[in-house]
Amino acid sequence: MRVRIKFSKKEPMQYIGHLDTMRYFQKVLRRAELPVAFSEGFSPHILMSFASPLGVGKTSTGEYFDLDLRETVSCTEIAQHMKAHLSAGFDVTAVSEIEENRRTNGMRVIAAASYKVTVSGDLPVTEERISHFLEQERMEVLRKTKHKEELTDIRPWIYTFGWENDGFSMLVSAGSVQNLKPEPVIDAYAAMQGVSPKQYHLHICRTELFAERFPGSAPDFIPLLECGCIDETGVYRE
Amino acid sequence: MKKTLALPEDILMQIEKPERYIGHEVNAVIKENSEDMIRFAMCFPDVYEIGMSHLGIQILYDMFNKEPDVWCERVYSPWPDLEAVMRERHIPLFALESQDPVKIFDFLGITIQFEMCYTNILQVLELSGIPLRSEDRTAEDPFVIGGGPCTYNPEPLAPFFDMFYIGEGEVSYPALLDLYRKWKNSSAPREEFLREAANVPGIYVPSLYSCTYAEDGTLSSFYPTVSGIPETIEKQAVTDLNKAIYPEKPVIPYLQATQDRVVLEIMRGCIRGCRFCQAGMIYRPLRQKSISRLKELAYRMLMETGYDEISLSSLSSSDYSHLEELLDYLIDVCSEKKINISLPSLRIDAFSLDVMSKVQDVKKSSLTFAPEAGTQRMRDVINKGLTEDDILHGCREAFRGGWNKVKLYFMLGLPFETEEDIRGIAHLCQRVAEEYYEIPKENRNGKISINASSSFFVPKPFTPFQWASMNTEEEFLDKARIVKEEVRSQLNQKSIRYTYHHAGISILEGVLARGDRRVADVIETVYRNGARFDAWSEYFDLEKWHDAFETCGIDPYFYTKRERDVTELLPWDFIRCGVTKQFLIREWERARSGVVTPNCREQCSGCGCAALGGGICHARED
Ligand code: SF4
Ligand code: SF4
Repeated sequence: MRVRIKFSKKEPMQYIGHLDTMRYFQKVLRRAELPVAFSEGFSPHILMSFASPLGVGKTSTGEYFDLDLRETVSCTEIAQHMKAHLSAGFDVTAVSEIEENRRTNGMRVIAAASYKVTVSGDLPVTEERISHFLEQERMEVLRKTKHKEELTDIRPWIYTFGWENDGFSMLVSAGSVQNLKPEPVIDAYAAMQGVSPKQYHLHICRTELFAERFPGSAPDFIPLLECGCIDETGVYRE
Repeated sequence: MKKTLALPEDILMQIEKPERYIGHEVNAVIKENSEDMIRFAMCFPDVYEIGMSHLGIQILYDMFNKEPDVWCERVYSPWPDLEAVMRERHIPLFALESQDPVKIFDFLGITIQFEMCYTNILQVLELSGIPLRSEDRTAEDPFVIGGGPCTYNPEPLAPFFDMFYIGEGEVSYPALLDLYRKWKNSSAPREEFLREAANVPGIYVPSLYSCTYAEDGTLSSFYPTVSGIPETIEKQAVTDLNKAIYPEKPVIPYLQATQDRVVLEIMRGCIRGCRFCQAGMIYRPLRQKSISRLKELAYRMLMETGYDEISLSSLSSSDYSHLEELLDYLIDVCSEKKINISLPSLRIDAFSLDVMSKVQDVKKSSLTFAPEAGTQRMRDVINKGLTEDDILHGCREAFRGGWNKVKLYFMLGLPFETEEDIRGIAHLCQRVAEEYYEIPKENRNGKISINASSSFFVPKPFTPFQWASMNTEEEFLDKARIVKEEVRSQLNQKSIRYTYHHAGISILEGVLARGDRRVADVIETVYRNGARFDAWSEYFDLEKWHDAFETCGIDPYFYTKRERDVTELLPWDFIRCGVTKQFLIREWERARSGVVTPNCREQCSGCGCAALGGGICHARED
């Protein structure tokens, strides 16, 4: 069976890099003695596939990986076994069984990500400024690709952007087609207020990863947990 | 977690690999702090990934933390990028678990595994805000205690340490802690504790000893300066390894350490007695763990850690009496649980080839031999019981089994070496290649690749070669050139890749290994001039060391080039490490005449270690 595991990564684990996070979960799965499936060959590894890597320094409440198991285990049991072996800062918050045949590889279906961004420093925020910001038809920012820097219009990749309680929240394009990070969005907003990035510091938490409800449905998204889920009633969630 | 991190976010985001400094690893021990808690900071003076791979610290960490009133934490050298920030922003060095400054600890224990970390030791002290020299420390400072193989000649580091622990930590730390508990509750001065500690077996308090030098610069006397403390320090050794503590739940780093696997120590010591090898002498006698204990430990550790690999640790794993049974067991358990076995370098024979073919991809793995010298004569001089026949026979079997990569380790600059021995390195490589081409073409697996490398011989204390002259940098490089040319002149030169170590680093190692107290000034001077991470070629700066020798008026050749007379008082003579001086002299003589000495299993040579009680000298193994 294939399951999708949702986990959170909080203080101080934001400094653990993507590869090390993967290695950490491999050990957790072994300690939890779950009947995981392995690849063939001389150095077999656990068949798991992580969704979009999270940059060092960011926390998250919406990380995912897909895992293949040799035997059927209930989602609740998987969560409980893993939780017994997690260290502070990591938690498993949901598990769902997903189709095995789909092009559902966690990485490939990602279409959007939501973020919560708190700002320390001086950055004026009012509803008016935000709607003014969103009214722009183009938002050209300098983006670095592998070899060059180029001006790109990021406006089409921002689905929502607003202020909630004590920080910005946004839903932006993510995944293999257009991966927009939250920093350039805030920087563009700040630039409009005449504030340079040096004047503030961002604390970024990724809150969810999304897939399109059906191919081409953007901006109609569903959380990754629900994408390809084959048994709604069996889903474990907190 | 009770506390935030010692480093603020902006620093963690600007340095390389912040994971090195945040602690919170799986199995890291967090205790409730209290007034009575003895805080022990255990330091490996190199970068986190290297330090976390060290087994000795994990053992002591586990042992200390089993004591309810002791909280042992880990400290590693900050990488130069962080060091710069710490200096600029006045951030003191901290321990990983509590993230508290090292300065508030009761002890700072430093394991000293190789000479090239000496400047890093001073970095750790200075960044902790602890005076570099013991004499300048006050009640505000922790007691700085050193351990590990380099303490078998602690003299070049003597002024920087309050104490050295000579031997295996499992034995005397309980007594030292007891003494500390009593002292802590009294209001006695710091010196009082040191004075009493000097009577704990294995503890050397350098400030309580002094020495004089003769006109020719050699040591003329070494003596305690107060009465009632021992004149010699006895190495401490565990007698029964089966009863010794072993960390079943080692700390598991997030950041990938050099040893990213379960490490199973199968025995300590070595039966072989190669004459250049310090480990082979100072860790005597051979003590094995029982097969049942090892099976149990291996299983438990794999389950507790979740590692996907296990490796065996010892000086010479092929000599473990129950190796076959142990490997059979591991292969069983590991194939079921899909765990890799990383084999230590085993002696190449039918058995090890069979095991290797079961656990590794033959096409990718290589055969490793450490003949150390190119001719049989030279191997007899160094008492390396590996013959050319062993090597060629092993290769033949392996080549038939599909292997085609061979690694060969040699040393240059060994005592009594002749040009024939030097060229012999190339000849041996050539013979290995010939062996390969004897195999019919259709049975070969492509081309053969031979990787030969030589290190430069550094004479070490407590070896039969402790009196030997060491080559100069130029001599080393000349010899390496001879090998290189000889390789090039041979038929199979294209299959042989020959490399050699950094000769400058070897020379320094030579000074530090056999130095005396006067060398301490050089270490401090070079440190103050910015030397750090000398074991890392990107940081090593030979010029800085040359300058420091000059500034301090110290001639490095006095320590390296000079052959000592066996009657000379050596700086480390006050340590009793088990092997007696008579034995070492006898071995030095036998080396001169090229006579081999049987290993401990063949016949006891009366090296003196029987007095330590335990191991192969007493119980003939089952
Ligand atoms: S086999 Fe020789 S070189 Fe290896 S540890 Fe033993 S004594 Fe040292
Ligand atoms: S006393 Fe004999 S058996 Fe024991 S270590 Fe020495 S040589 Fe080996």
